[in-house]
Amino acid sequence: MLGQLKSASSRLYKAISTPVEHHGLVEILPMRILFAIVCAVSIPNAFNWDGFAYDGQPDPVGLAHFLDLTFLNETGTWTTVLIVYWSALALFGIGLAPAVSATVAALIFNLAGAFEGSQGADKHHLQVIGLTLLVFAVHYIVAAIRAPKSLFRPSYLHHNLAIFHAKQAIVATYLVTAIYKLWYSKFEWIKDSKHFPVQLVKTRDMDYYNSLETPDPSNWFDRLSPAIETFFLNNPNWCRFFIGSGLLLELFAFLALAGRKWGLIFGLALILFHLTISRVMSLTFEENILIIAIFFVNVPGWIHAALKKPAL
Amino acid sequence: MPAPIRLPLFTLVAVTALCLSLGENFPFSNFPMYRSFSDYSYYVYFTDADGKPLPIKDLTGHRTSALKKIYNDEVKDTRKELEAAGAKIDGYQFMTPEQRKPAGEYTLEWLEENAKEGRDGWTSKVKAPVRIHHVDIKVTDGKTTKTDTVVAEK
Repeated sequence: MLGQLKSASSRLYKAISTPVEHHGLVEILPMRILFAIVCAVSIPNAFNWDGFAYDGQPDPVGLAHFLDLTFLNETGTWTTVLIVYWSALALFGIGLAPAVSATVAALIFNLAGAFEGSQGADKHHLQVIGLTLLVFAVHYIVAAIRAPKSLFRPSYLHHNLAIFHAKQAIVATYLVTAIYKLWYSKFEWIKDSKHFPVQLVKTRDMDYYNSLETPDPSNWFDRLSPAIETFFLNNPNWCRFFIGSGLLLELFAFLALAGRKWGLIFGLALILFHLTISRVMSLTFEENILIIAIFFVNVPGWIHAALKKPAL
Repeated sequence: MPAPIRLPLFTLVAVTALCLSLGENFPFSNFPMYRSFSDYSYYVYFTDADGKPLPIKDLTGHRTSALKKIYNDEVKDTRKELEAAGAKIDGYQFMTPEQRKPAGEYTLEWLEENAKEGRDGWTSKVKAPVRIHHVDIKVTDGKTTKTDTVVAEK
């Protein structure tokens, strides 16, 4: 019995194992620096030294369950927090003391994100950054505990493994959204997606009431939008096909972890997916696009690989 | 080059499990947007005393989609309270304007107090009272119909 259990767990371990890709330092450094820049500009209320302007946290999420985050409204406090945050990100970007710098950055980003999300309108474009920062922090803390010498200047191995874990956190956000859709809809999501045009109508009207801007007749997409609605309303199976392909992309996004080429293919597909959603649904996920471009499309890595390849 | 080491995707499994089990707890989330589709949906918008629509994002810094979430959370709470008191409500679309009124009032009050930076006092720039409208969208036989109701004013 014990033998069978051991054998089963060994098989499971192998099934969910994958080779850890070697990233050269010329890839790891740009990845970390670019990610740090995205984090620096994406924190809620960035570049506003006056602090937040919320009078409470009516619908608490995350750390707001345990802490009163209204102190982030105070100008002096918020200015200090921003300076500490950006300093921590600068250190993290160049790879210095990441167990401390990534932890400080993750804590501050997740405090600000929780305060913003606690206003009752939790958005979903910042979670990927919060989670990735958190995973970086946990990885470097564990590495520092295992090898205290790596606290200030971790080895290449630690930095490479950090990227391995960060990529998994990013992919997990797509897997979660796909699983949750299937579970919540009792696996009827694709069948029900024929009702997607209702969401198109809603989004178009809500967009109008943001700024009262009427569709621009010279813009090809503004002209096309009502035609798409009508087409989907009259062709529910085509609607299911287009919407369902997005779900499949999310569900199989973990294949992006299967190597550099798969990372590029899925990275580009996910970017196209976000750009389409942004155009059709007015839901912009700029942070996701940037993070996927940094970690999966990985332009510096491809340039490095091309330069390294011996001429035929 | 040495053969790459193999490691299990524990982070993928752990983050997925945490997100699904903790739900909406930043930075964790189950990402519930568009988790289901139906032939019904709704949105909210705002008008002034003359019934003219207000460009709410320009005035307050908040998008209608974010304000709908705030309103929707309150509608959900009201529904729970009504059901706890014995009422039977088959869906949000069947709630009456009177039942939606507390959510509308809350949203208007929140909006007045929480305009984004540099937009405080936006209500003084518009003709009071500001009204919140609830628009039901329904698809029947391939055609969409909309029903517009004033929910609350301030």
